[in-house]
Amino acid sequence: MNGYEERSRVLKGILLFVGLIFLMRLVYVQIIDKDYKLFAENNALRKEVIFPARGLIYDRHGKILVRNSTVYDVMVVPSRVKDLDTNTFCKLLEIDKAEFIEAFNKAKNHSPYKASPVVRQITTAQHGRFQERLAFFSGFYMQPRTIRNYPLSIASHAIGYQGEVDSADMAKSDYYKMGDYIGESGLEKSYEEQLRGQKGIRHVLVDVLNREQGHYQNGKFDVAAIPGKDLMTGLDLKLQQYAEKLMAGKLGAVVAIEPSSGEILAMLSSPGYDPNLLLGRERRKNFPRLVTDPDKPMFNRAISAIYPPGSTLKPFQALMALEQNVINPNTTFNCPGGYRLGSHTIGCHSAGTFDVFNSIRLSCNTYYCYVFRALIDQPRLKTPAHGLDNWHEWLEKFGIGKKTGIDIPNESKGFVPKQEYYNRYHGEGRWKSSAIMSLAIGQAEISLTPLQLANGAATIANRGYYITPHFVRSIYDKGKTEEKKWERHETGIDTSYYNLLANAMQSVIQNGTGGMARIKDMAVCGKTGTAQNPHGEDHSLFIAFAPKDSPKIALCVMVENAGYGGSWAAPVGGLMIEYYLRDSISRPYVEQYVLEARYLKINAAKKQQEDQEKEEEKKTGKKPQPKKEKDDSEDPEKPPMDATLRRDSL
Amino acid sequence: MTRMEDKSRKLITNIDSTAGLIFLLLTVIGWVNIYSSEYHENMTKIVDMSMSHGKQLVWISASLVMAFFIVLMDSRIYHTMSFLIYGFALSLLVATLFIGKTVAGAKGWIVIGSFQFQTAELAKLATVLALARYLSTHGVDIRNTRDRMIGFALMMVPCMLVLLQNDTGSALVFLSLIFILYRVGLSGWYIIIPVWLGIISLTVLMASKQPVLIGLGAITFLALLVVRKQPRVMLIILGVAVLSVGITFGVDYGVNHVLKDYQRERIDVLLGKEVDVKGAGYNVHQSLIAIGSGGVSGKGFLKGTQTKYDFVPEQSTDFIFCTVGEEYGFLGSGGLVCLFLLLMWRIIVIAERQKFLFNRLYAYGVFSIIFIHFTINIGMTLGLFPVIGIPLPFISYGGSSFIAFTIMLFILLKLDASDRYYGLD
Repeated sequence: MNGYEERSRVLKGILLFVGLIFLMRLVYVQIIDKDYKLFAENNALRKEVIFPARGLIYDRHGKILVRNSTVYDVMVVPSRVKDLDTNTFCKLLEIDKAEFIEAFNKAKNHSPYKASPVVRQITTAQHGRFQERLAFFSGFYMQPRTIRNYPLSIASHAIGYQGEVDSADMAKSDYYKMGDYIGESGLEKSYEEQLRGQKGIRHVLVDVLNREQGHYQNGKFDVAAIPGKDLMTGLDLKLQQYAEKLMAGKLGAVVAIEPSSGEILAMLSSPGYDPNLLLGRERRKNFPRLVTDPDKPMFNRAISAIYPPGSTLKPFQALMALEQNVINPNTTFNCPGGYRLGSHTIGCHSAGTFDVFNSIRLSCNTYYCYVFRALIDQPRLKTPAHGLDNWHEWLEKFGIGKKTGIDIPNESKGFVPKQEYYNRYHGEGRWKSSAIMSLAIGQAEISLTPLQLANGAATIANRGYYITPHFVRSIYDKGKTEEKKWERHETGIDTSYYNLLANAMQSVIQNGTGGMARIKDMAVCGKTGTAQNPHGEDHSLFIAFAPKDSPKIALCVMVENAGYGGSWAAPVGGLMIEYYLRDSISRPYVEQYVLEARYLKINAAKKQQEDQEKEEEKKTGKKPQPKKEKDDSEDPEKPPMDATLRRDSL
Repeated sequence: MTRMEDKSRKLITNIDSTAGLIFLLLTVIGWVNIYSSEYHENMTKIVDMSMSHGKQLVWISASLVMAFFIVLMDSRIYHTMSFLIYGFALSLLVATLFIGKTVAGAKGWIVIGSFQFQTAELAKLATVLALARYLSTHGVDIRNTRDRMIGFALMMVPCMLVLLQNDTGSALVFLSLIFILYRVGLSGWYIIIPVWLGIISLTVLMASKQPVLIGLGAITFLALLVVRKQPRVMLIILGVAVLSVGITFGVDYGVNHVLKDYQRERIDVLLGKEVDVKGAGYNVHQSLIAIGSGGVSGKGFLKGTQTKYDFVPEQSTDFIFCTVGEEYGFLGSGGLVCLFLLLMWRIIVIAERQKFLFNRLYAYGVFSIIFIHFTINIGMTLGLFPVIGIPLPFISYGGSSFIAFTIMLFILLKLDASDRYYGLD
């Protein structure tokens, strides 16, 4: 043995010493000190969440677009509920008894010891009544929350809406608890983290009569809520309002951008919806109704719908052709009133010999068929397949055919075909430029979002670059403003070509197809477009910017099924430009003409018919037949349009 | 009856029944309290395999099977393989730093398929084995500087690796193995000085540095007066005094400039400082209310209200002692403390009766590890120690720790059994 046997006694001593300290401490905590016991018996501790005020949203002039109001949720801790008088409870809060029992059981299953909401968003009157009788309802308390409030009911697609978190949200972030709200679309979604702030916690002592006895430990363990940050957007409240007024009763979309900054001045999708419908207890009723509406009011056509650009594509093709030296400013082509393509002709309403300037002014289809063929069949690119990919790359420089990166979700990247697309239909190396000639006039397979076209107009306005289009210019937090940085994208095309195009687009307005957008003493540049639509009337399109020198606004107007671009989209665009730049309208008759137009009637009639059918089915007890709604605008992978469907395009 | 059968039967009956019985008792108490801590009225099944108590039942069964095999297996492999196991455990710790999974802030888990375990648990056992093996080697003397350094290194290398995993609790556990070194003759100063400095650090944190400095001066003066005839001890005391002053300043600086917020918070919680407005002291306070509300005899099985999920966090793992305190009162919690004392006392008794030094030192290793877990865990729930998340042996929920403790204990019981058997020969 190596000795040191006595050390086992030292270790036993240490062991007994620690054990003794623990036993003494237990005697003190459990037997001598009555405070802990009393505390646990007489008081219930309630952990309440303090919801922060959500960040506000302002327009470019600091006017408020979205604010908050306070509502109350009735919360329950199921294990603390005793002798509940369900009838009185339901009468007091004016709720359905079965619904309440269901909510109560749900809360109980979630956790008997944690607080869950049982009645959401009660009115102020109900709050007052319930507060008085709270003593009869142990286990219940009211939790203030903030919900959104939209004083003007505008820009609903851009702002988006909130909804209750689902299990996926809760799995993604442990910040969210059952019953919390989260931004589900628009700015509310993309800036959720900045807007939401940080929840706080307060520990409240409650006596047996369900009365608050003050803060546990003088609020030592409470955490203050941190309010959300405010969004300063580039939206112009008045322009937005005016655009919504003009587009009332029409299907379509409007996007207006300040070219120099990339800020969205106005964005709407028509028909829209009143965002206040998605608040409070009404939401449950309204949401499904809005979602199933055949006019799709919840669908943001401005960024999610795609349409053939028609003739609005011509300026971009002219620019890329000039830069690649496929044509020069003086290149002319003769138009005999159409472009012959084997057995059929791509029609053109104008005839004569045109240069680039006049091809834009009169929107000559023939000219762009020649340009397109020259672009695709460039000798240096060897095959038309490579020519098409090159064409695609050049369009991307304008932000066309890819996501622009706007700061709201669900942006579509549009559809601009590449060689793979045609290889699939015709076989590799087995098609020529003539097979895809419809693309020359922005028809058939190409489809873009109104946002992409507005952004393209802004690029021309800027003479060669665009800033990622966006709503939020800065984020405001406790006296500090954090400027957002947005990327600048160069097209790499010579400025002189842009000036040529700007002049040509000015002539479109002055003595071309866009006369309806003409404004006295103002240099407006624009391009009309008429997009063929296999499902019905042509879509009316217009892109523009103004003033020609140092432009303040660039926009795209899209009116579905309205016919010629010059007759419907152009006047809307013209009115918006004048309203934005001059704050007044010089041609009230144009305004009147636009306001009176109604294109919603087709769908409205359809819906009426459906409703009638439903009524009848209800009476007869038959189940309604599911009707499939086809909408090309939502499906980016749509099959190619009938290649023989070719008409003139303005 | 053949000789072989006789031998194996003897070996089994030689298992220390007191320790075995306490182990079974603790296991049952642990499971019942895990069950109670997550019980609620809406539970449809008595045992739900998707909940902690259900899973723990699986771990317990697995552990018992392993314990059975340990009893059957030849005990000499632990001595033979000790360094091999140690090397393997170290390489796993290193691997964990790279491929480990992070749970509750500590990157200490290795995942193999659906199975995951905490590598520090294996390292504890391996380090005990390696230390026992090394210190029982003929010719190794802890009083030699070189041997002492090797001993320390065996202990500190895994400790550091675990610290790198950000698992402060487990790292502390390794330090407790100093008791093994102490048992073979390491100077008591190696324990007294760190503990003393620990107390000083805590005092600095609790109050501030001025009163500590004044107190230090007074104590040093008195101590020097008492031992004025022994210059060697005087020198040690002076050295300790200088070190204490250094620590006082060091801790003060460290807390204010080096520690991460959450670490500072955890220390402040223990000390009841005003700064924990973020709610970090909440756990300890709630834990004390739960235990205190138990009174003398407790509220009874499943009757605890404070210890249900919403108040005390980490209920079934680190704060399991609260459930015992609330539902069984002083009789229950005091009884559990006594049961642990009895187990550890018994381990010392077993240690001292070993004929082989390796066996004895291994026993002290098991003692040290159970002791430190017991001290930190219950100290924490009683508000006597910082909130460091380490489990209460055999009681807390958790597969890795339960299996590790069981294996560790049963290797000891097996070593003891064969030591006595061969001793009879």
